[in-house]
Amino acid sequence: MRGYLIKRFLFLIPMFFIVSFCAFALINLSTDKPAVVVLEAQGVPLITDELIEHTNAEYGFDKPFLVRYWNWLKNAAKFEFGESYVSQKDVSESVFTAFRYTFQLAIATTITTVLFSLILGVLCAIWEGRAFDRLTRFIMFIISAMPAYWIGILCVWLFSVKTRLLPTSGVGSFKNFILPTFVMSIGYCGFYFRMIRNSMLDNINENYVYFFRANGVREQKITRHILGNSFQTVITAFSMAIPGMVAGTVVIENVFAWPGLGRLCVTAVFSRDIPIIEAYILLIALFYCFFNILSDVINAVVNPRMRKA
Amino acid sequence: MKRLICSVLLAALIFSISACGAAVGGTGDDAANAEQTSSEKDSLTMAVAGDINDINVHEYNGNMIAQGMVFEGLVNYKSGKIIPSLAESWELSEDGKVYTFHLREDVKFTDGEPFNAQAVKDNINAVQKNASRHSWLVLSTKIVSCDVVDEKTVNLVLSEAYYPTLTELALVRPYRMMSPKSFIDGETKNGVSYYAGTGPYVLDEHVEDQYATFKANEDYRDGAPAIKTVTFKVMPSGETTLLAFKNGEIDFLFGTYYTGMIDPEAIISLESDSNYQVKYSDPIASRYLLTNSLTDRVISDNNIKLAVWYAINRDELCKYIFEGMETPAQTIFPKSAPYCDVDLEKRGYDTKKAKSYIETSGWTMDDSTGYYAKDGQTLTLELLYNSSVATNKEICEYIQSNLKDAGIKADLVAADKSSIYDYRGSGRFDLLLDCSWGTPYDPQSTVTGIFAENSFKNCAVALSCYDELCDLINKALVSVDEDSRQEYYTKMLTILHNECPFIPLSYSKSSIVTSADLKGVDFGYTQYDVPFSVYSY
Repeated sequence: MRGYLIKRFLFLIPMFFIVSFCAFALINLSTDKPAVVVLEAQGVPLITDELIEHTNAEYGFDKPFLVRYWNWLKNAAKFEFGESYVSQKDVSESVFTAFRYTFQLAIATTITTVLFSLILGVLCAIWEGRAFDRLTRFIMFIISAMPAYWIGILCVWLFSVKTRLLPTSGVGSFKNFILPTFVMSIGYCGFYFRMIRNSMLDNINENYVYFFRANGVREQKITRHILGNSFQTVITAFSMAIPGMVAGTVVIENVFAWPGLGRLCVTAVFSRDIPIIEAYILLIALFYCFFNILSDVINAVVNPRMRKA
Repeated sequence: MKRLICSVLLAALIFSISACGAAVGGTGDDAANAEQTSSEKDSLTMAVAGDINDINVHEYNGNMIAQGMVFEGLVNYKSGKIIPSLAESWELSEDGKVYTFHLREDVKFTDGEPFNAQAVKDNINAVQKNASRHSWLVLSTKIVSCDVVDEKTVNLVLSEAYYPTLTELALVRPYRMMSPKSFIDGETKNGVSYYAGTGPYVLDEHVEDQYATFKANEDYRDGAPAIKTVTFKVMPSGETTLLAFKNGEIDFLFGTYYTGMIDPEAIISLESDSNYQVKYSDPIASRYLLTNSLTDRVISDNNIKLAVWYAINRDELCKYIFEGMETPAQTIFPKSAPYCDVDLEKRGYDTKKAKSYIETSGWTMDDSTGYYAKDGQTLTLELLYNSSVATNKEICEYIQSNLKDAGIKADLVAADKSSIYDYRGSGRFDLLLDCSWGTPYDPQSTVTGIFAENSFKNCAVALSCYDELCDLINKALVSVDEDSRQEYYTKMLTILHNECPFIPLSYSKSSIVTSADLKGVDFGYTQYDVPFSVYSY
């Protein structure tokens, strides 16, 4: 187990180099005039040749590509990504602040999704084929088909404008979390609750259940085993969903004016704020890798059969 | 056992739903409290599309409205005239090279530092130290020095006469005044340590990407503003902004052709609601199509440009696409712009005339496609537009249908703001939907854009009259008497009208949407400032 973990973490090092090179290369090679990109991001009304030369000297764009990559990498390893072209603020500070907000939303969504999908999934599995099961599946199917931004706007209209129960947008107190979390969870719930339901149904019909019953093992113990086996695939899926939520909640963050990573990155892409884009790609890639390792570890802990792999 | 699990899970489900309900119900009080606070009647919350960023007024990053609230300049610009601001009066030397400003008495920066001639000199020098950044503004290339005469008198010395000097000093950036004590090592190009201006508001709190709060400057020279707190709240989505406005979380919306937070239909629907007031400014900027003069493009043929001009139905465009919020334009600058009251050939909506121009250039109608063709090629123009601005697509689709009626095929190309710069600079377009900077930049700053590579150069550089045009522009800028200046402008505008580097579409207005009980609602002098200091409840 320990050896397996060490091997996985060591693999992160070459991953870091590959991802950072791809990120830096693709973004910096997308334009042959990086000075123009900087000046446009800074809102300079007219870009003259003199200004371009000045900017090239200031930012070191006249240096060879590999030299620039190495300078950037050295700082990136210390989590120093330079300054934003637009706001001139420290990129690490902006990215980590935005990451905090997105992570809070991701955790809230995960808890809500887990709670609801577990409850609904288990109940539907136990009452398979009955009215509750059919109705739940139908409703979740309809809701999953609706786009998140549409549900979001409808919820804001209903709960903020019509009934004035909740704020429309922004961060602040607990009530600011409710609508974005609800809208995000709906999409995930629809998918995960079915996964849990199917997983449970598969396990209920397994041979070991009949064997245990035949041997007179108590129902309590049988159910514990069923649940344990059912959640295994789901845990893997859940743990990979978290980085997905952190990286890709752009739509929700835009609808609810949530100052998170998704919005930060999209704004950076449109204004070609290269330092932020590079930092974002690198951090999210590392985040995915980390969660991948984490989900394998959790699986190994939960299922001894996975430990030898 | 199963029954036990079922009942536990059902109970948990019911509990969670009711807990949410309780949380939701419990917030009802808070919502009511929030409403009460916002109706304190001395604060305003405005929705903005992005963070205010660094409002250093010698740089271009920050939100211009915010910069206009905190910092003032020597002079200001109102309806075609220069009015005093921090300078009470001024004189110009005979040769037009030296401006002498007499500064207002008893003005302090909000950090307590006095506003005097030395402060003016420090500010002008700080801007000039970073002159390459400001080379778009011709004044920065003309300033030789700024000299202190006495405590309240300062001379601005130019290398040659330049008539738009006062207009360019009136702009929000870069020649406005910040407290020299806030400079870093005597300069502002690397930022300032804090913001201290002489304006009616002071930046109080700034949470990046969320909001920025401005508090009234109680010692403001014209008296403290009635609106004590102005909050800029970052709201990215149009729909969310409208809902937040209806919910009372936002009570002020300011829109221009490019920064509209809500779309025209929403504004029109709010007009009929007596809780709100909607105001439109006078026409303030020109919306036009840039054309390409480079000879490898089909559009470089003047007949095709004129055909496009006549093919567009501006009245319908303004009535249906802009919902009456813009007025049709016959000339590139409105007659109210300085020196632009010139008689130029009237060109209305005339599809037949458009077709006759096309046929003059040797194109023949291909009845199978409905478009003109020559040497096996269909008459196709690439119409480029900025996809980040909501109404642009609709405008271009309408133009596309107008051009189709005239037998021209228009291919629409959507690009984001940064890509538009690339296309424009490298000349890879036929028609480009754009808008001028408006008052007071028109006409002088817009026409000087004809020199810069990344700006309008490709629209004019291959024209046969390009050198004459540049000569006229330069002469107009350094002229010292009104008559010769008007003469140069008349010639220049006539050339622009005939050679069509710009095809005018409409004049755009700014809009303000706010609650009906806000008094004194009016527009600033340009489309980039909002005079919160004159509003009250």
